[in-house]
Amino acid sequence: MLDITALNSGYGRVPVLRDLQMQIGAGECVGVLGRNGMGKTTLLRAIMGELPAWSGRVTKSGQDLTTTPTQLRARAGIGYVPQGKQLFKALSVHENLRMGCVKDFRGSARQISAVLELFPRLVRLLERQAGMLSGGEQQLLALARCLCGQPDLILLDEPTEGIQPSICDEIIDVLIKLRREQGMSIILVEQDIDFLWQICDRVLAIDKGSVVQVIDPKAAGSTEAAKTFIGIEG
Amino acid sequence: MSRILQTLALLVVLAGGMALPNLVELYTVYEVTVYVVMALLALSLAFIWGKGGIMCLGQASFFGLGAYAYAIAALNFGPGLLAVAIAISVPTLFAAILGYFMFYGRISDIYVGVITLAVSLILMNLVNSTSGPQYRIGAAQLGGFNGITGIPTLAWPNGTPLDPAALFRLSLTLLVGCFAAISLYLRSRAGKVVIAIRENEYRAELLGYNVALSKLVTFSAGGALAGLAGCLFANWGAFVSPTVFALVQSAQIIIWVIVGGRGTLIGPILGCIALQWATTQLGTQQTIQVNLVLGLVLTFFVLVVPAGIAPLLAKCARAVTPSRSRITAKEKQA
Repeated sequence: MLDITALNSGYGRVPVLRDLQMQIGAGECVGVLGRNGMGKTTLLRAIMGELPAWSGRVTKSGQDLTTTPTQLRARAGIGYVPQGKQLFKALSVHENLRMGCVKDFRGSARQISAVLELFPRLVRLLERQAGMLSGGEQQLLALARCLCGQPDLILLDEPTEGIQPSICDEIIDVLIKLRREQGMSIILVEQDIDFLWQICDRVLAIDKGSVVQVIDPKAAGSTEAAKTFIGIEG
Repeated sequence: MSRILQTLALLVVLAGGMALPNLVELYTVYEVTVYVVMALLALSLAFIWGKGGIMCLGQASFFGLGAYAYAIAALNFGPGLLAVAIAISVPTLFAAILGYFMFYGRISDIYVGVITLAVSLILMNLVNSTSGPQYRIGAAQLGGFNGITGIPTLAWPNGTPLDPAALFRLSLTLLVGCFAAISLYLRSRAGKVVIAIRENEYRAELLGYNVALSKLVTFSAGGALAGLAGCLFANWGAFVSPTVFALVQSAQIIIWVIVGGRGTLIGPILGCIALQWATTQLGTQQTIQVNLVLGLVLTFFVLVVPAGIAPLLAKCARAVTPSRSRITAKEKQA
């Protein structure tokens, strides 16, 4: 599905990712954790092409995306829900979802109703302005809009940040359904270990821009190992 | 406003406008024509800045290019449709080239504003320095700061020039037509992308939209509209000078848009007409400096009514008119 080989990238002249290697298969969920500033968000931005690859390769299903512009990577099936939701706040919930149907705008009604089955909470809010939703509802809308683009790989950057627990549970349910029913691949950057452990097949610990350890959530002592990488003692 | 109401309102304005030259003096028709032409210019900025989020501080560039292109083309090829086509094409092409470097070069909003403003000042200085007899394009003498005089008025296919009433009707029809076309465009998919980019350019790109291309199309269309306004302006006065590129001209357009309501299409048109009328009245009385008053009006609106006239009126209308949901709630209680 997605293959990242010896990727180097950063901001301006400041390197952040250093020879980063990572693979994710179809239907797999890979978590990414690490301390602040270690390159988690930078990794997602480099996958989306927002930051140029200084060297290395990014390929998806055999297609080399290393120099492909951001909007074409999105059309190639990579959906990205960045931190802060990034909604079109002046547009209604329905219009936001419609904007997400970038591949099939004419068939947007069908696509939106399929997505809304996963997010029943949004159905009664369709005519409401996106900026008027609560933080949790905005997060659900951001994820729903991403799915309207029919991606087969989604990148989620801290989806539980500042979100009430009931919405977190909804997000977990949706992600599990997506994997099970649609074979969706997911890369999940998250600091909430419990959240990661419920969904991920494996978790990559990132330190100074490189993957330093692959953690199996089912293995004994995995939680303690993860805590050392996000700076929680004990 | 619902689509039906909006269409009805446009038809009423158009019908009323068509009858106006029969009801008022010729001088009034002449005066109102320039309001309508400037309203078209205001509409161009309302589209690219208000709807597209592109902060263009030099919209006068395209207006001036349209006026000069029409003058030169009309003097060389006659005042027909070819001259109008050239008057629209030149600013459109200029906007497309300028926009290409700005948007594909990922220039940030504030620098787009600075660049467009600088371009309009460069154009003004460039045209100002063409006063020598050697600055001539075919039959058109550019005339430097004196401008081009004796521009032939647009003619019917049989060669008869448009009289002031016909020019007014044409200008109004174009204004209403462009307003309707932009409104329709904004309801289409491409139009929604324009608004989405204004709201969140970063997110629109992540969803897979070509932000640079969309902004380029919006900017060029705005240039075309301003060029059309310039063409009509040259027809109206039969004269064009470098002041069409001046800072004052660009600033006025921005003031019309801010006062009328930046996020709307109708607001800048209302703002333009109201301020044009006020400017004319103050200028006639010569009791106070007009630019000073315009500055005070702008300051007042920025501080007290930042949303502008149109959103304020809409808010008042909503407050007065009971909404359907409130009526339903009352009915339920009853």
